Amino acid sequence: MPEAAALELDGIEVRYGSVSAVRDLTLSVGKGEIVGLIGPNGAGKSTTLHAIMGLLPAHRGEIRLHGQSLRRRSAEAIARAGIALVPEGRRIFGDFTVEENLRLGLAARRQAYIGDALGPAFELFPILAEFRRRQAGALSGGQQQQLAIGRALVARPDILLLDEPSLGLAPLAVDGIFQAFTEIREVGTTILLVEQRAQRTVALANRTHVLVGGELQMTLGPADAEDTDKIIAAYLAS
Amino acid sequence: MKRTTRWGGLAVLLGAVVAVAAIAGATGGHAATDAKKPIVIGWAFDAKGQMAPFDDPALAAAKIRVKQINAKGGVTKRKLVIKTCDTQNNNPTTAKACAISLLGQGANIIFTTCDVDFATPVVQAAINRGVLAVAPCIGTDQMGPKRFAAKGKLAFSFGNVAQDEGSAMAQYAWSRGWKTAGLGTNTLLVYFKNVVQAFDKRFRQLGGKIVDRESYATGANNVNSAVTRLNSHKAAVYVTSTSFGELPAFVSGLRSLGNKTPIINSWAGDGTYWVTNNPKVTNYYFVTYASVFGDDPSAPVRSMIAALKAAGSPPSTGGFLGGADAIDGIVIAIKRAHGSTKGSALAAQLVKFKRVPVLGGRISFSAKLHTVFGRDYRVIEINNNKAKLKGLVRAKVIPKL
Amino acid sequence: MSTIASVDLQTLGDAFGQGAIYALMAVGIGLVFGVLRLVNFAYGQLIMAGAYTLAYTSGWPVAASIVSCFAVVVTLSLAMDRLVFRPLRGSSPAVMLVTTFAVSFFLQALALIIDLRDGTLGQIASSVAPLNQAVSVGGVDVRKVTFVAVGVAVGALVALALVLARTTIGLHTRAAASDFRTARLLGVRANRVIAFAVVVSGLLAGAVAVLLTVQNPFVQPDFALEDTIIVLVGVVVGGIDRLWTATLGGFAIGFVSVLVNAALPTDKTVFLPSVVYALVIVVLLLRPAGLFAWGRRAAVERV
Repeated sequence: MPEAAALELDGIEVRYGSVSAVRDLTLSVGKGEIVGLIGPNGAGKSTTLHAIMGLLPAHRGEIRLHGQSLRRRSAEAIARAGIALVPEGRRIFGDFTVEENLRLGLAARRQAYIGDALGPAFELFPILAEFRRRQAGALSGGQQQQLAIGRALVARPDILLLDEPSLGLAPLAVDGIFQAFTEIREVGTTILLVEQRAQRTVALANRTHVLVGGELQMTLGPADAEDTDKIIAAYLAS
Repeated sequence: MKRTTRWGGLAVLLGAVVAVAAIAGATGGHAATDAKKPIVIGWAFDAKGQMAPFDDPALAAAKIRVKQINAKGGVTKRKLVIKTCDTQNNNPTTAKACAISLLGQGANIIFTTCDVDFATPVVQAAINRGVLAVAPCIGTDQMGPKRFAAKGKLAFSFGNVAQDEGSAMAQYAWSRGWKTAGLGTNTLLVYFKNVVQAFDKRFRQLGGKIVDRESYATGANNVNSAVTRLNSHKAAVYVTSTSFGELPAFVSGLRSLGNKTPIINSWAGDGTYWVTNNPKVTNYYFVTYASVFGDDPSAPVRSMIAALKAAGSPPSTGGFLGGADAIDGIVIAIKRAHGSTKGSALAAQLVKFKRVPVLGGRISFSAKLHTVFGRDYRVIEINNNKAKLKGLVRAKVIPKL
Repeated sequence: MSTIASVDLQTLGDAFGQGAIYALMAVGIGLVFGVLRLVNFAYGQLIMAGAYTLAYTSGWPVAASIVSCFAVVVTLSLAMDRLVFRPLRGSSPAVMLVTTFAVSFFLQALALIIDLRDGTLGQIASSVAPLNQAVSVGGVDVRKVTFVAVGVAVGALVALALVLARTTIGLHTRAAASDFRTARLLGVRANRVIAFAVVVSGLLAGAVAVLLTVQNPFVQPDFALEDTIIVLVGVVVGGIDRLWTATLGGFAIGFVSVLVNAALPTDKTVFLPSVVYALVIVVLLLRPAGLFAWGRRAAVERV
């Protein structure tokens, strides 16, 4: 069990109009943990991340960062409080250089840095250093994903939220980023990972929650990674 | 029985006749009281909008004039009364409502604002009921049959018709020995265009030469191009008819090129509200109804200006005179029409006006021109931002446009 | 009798001057559009306010008068954002459009009330009029204001380009103009970026006010109204979604207007707006995304 929860969701409900996309969701992420969130399309996984990030209002329930409520704060305030989101589809600025994209990530930093502010990104993904003056739009899909993650990391966030980072990536690239997640965890950054690749996520994460139809169906541990029946059953349950 | 009924019927008939005669007699006495009813001028004017600078002074002058006339006994033993209605920046619906309301209050004559487009709803309401429609200072010949067809015979303006102004300007220029001219036409108003066209024709008639013709438009930011091209054609005088923003743009535009040539404007260029400190206005002339700068040659006009100042409406241009002249003109027309205030009767008198004396001088109308011509214009010069009367000029010929 | 006026060096100079002033206005409009996705129809009123300030401070030393002009315009610009645009953030484009119209009318009405306090409509701002004097360049009389306008435009554009490319606030502004949502996600302070755009836009409006009063010293509530409409057309034609295409569009329409005015026979210059707008229609039919917009980034904005 995690000691002090870095991020807590307490019975949150998120609505689109009159429809509840997420219902009564409770989960917590401890410091230095990777918690996975998997489930079929439309299950409310992205919605959950958007609610944490303040892009969507939580109709009910509480979202706490180190015990402090995040409700009704703007996205930029939440970013500056130490949560970084790597959004679905990466959303990098294609016309800007790699370096400029990374520098944008510094907007959320909480203190001045000694040495190369962009260090965390370059150390984790050396290719970004090599391409620092290139137009971001010219990078491959995998490299752009690395850029998006690097951009989130340069702010030295406490919590890293990732929305389907492996989407549209070649297997080698997927390997690369999942490797990066373990390295990030080693530094003590907490990760909440929303993914379509159920097996890899279950194998990697301390804990993986299965979200179906907006509700938490079950929680899996790394030991269940090989148990495909169990995973399928979880997906089909509703 | 039959004979009794016949005589009885005759008695009833006689009785009825007597009764009718008695009533007629009483009404006839009432008609005598009618003659003492005031002559009502219904004035639909723009109190605070675009036309206020023209309508307000005219109204103020008219009110003073009416007071003076009433003090002397009025017109054919009747007092003049002005009833006003604010058209609120000449909003068409409001203007029409004003006209109808004024007519409903018994207006015998309708006065309206100094722009023929804005005045149209009011003019039509009046002439459709056979009531005379008068504007104190519309400057084109459109206030009449030209614009309003047959019924337009009842529409008149006591403003100076543009052709007359342009012709007078040409005459003045020629009298100063200026034999070449450059023309700048502001294409916004028919009035502006007519003034310059009239100058063009008359100046050449007198023997002058036009060295360049340029045009510009209000709001189009092209005064500068016109001025630059005018500047490249040396002339003895530059002519334009314009006001407000384009005026200082035109004058400053020329002067900042080092061009010191005299510039002459129509009544549109009256007033000093537009003068700049940088560069100061020099060698600039305009023609107007009266000099409001303390040096008008006519004593009655000077006392009218004093009266206006005392009443709290000091005039900034000579346009106030149109209001006073309109009252004078109407009064003369009513007298000549033996007291009738019927539109057609008054119109018939007005078109025969030849050099009729009014406060501002002598005015004329004709069947073709329902806007005044033949005034003695005051020529004012502005030098070093100071305005001064330079002389008088009257147009001898009115060019056909 | 009509005379065909020729396009000569003089006209070319005037065209550059007008183009430069319109380019400055285009940048002001484009910058605010970029971050707020708002076409500010009340932009002309900022210029009007600057011109009135110059008029009311005519008696001051010229430098002080100009500084006060900038101060008033920037303050008004920030006030406009704070009081009107901020509460409307997130509203539909239609609502925002109508609101800027309303603000424009309101400011004109307010100006009218203030202006009429001295009895006559209009105020004179002629302190900078000496710039309207001409210098002889190779036999051609070029007004000083042409040089100043071009100089200011080039200087301002270069300065802005440097700020956008090299500074953090510039980077944040570019990001916000490209994808505000993602920028905010990354911690970019929306209010700071918007304030930056609004202040720069205000400074440009102040500069335009000073330049316009050189040749048009008579200030009325509709000062710069027609120019604003023309620049808006130019910005849309150039391509409103990118700053440099918007700027080019503004420059182009100013430049072309002067040339067309010179080329038209003198009694037909009343048709100038018609000719210019006809050209605009042709351009928009052929290239709806804007004359200078190419590549995948161009969006067809319905303005």
